Amino acid sequence: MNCKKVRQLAESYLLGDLGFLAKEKVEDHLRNCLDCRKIYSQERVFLSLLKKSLNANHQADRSLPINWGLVFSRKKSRRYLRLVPSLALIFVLLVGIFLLLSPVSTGLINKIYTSPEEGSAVTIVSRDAGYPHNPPSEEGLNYRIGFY
Amino acid sequence: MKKNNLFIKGEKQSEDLSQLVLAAQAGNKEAFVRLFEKVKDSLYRTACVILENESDAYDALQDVALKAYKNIKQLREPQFFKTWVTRIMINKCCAILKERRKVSLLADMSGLQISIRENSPFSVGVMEAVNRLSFPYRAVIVLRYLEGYSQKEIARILKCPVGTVKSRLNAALKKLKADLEVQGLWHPSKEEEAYEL
Repeated sequence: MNCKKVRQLAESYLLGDLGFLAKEKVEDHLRNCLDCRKIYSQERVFLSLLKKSLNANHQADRSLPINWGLVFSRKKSRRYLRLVPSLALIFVLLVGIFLLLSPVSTGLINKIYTSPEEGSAVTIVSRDAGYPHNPPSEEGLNYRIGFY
Repeated sequence: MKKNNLFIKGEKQSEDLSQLVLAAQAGNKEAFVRLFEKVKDSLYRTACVILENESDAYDALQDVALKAYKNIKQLREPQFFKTWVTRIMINKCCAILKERRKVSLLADMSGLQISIRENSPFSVGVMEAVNRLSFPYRAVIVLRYLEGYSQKEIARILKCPVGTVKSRLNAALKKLKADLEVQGLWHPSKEEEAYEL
């Protein structure tokens, strides 16, 4: 391990954050390098002073009591109420589809005209063609659902 | 042997904390109160250093208690309660500092109470130097040297890689040393005993 790497690891080594192998390598280097030993010694002093100063300034810090009434007084959120808009939308969609597809609704949509000439002929208006059609036969009538 | 006893004691404390967390998650309010009281002072100290203001620190603590109670069921690993709640506190402090920056353009900040006690010149110098650090550096210094978290734990709290924590710590220490050297409070060749604390 070179000096640059060892000096980068000084903080981790001094606070015990190095793994076993890395620690062995650092100690091995420090045994043979006087400059790094000096730097480690200075770093140790600085870190010790820093810790003591921070603790001296804040050791007596005890906060005021927590207002637990405020913490526990919150109303429980009714989570199911969040689903209401989604459910309403689904309901509207289902009603819409039902209205489109049900026999009652097709009856409402298909306007049955009686031909003015024949009197009893039934004309069904188809959406696709846009023209009135005469149904092919009375049986198997396939009324097309459409708008006029 | 002493080391083993400390290790066992640490394990036992961690077990007690986990049990309290599980009870709190089950809805036991008393368990939550006892749980929060264990970490309250540590959170308050952290907030004091970051926010430089004791009343803001207390308000932050109150908000953190509320948020922790509201979200305790989301904590999947009870043994990490302290790091989890410290993260909430750090986020809260960050939000307060952002809010202050908006206000500080218009208002005079001299009314801020600085939480430095009557101590030796060196201690006062250290606190002032720490207060001059920007938020990311101040956070790592407080978590490391005041609260004693490891680099891994700090990375978990701040949600960043361990490498980032290491580089921030090195950069913060470099800035502090330079600041104290300029003030004449730190000299590399002096022994620890030469400094009055």
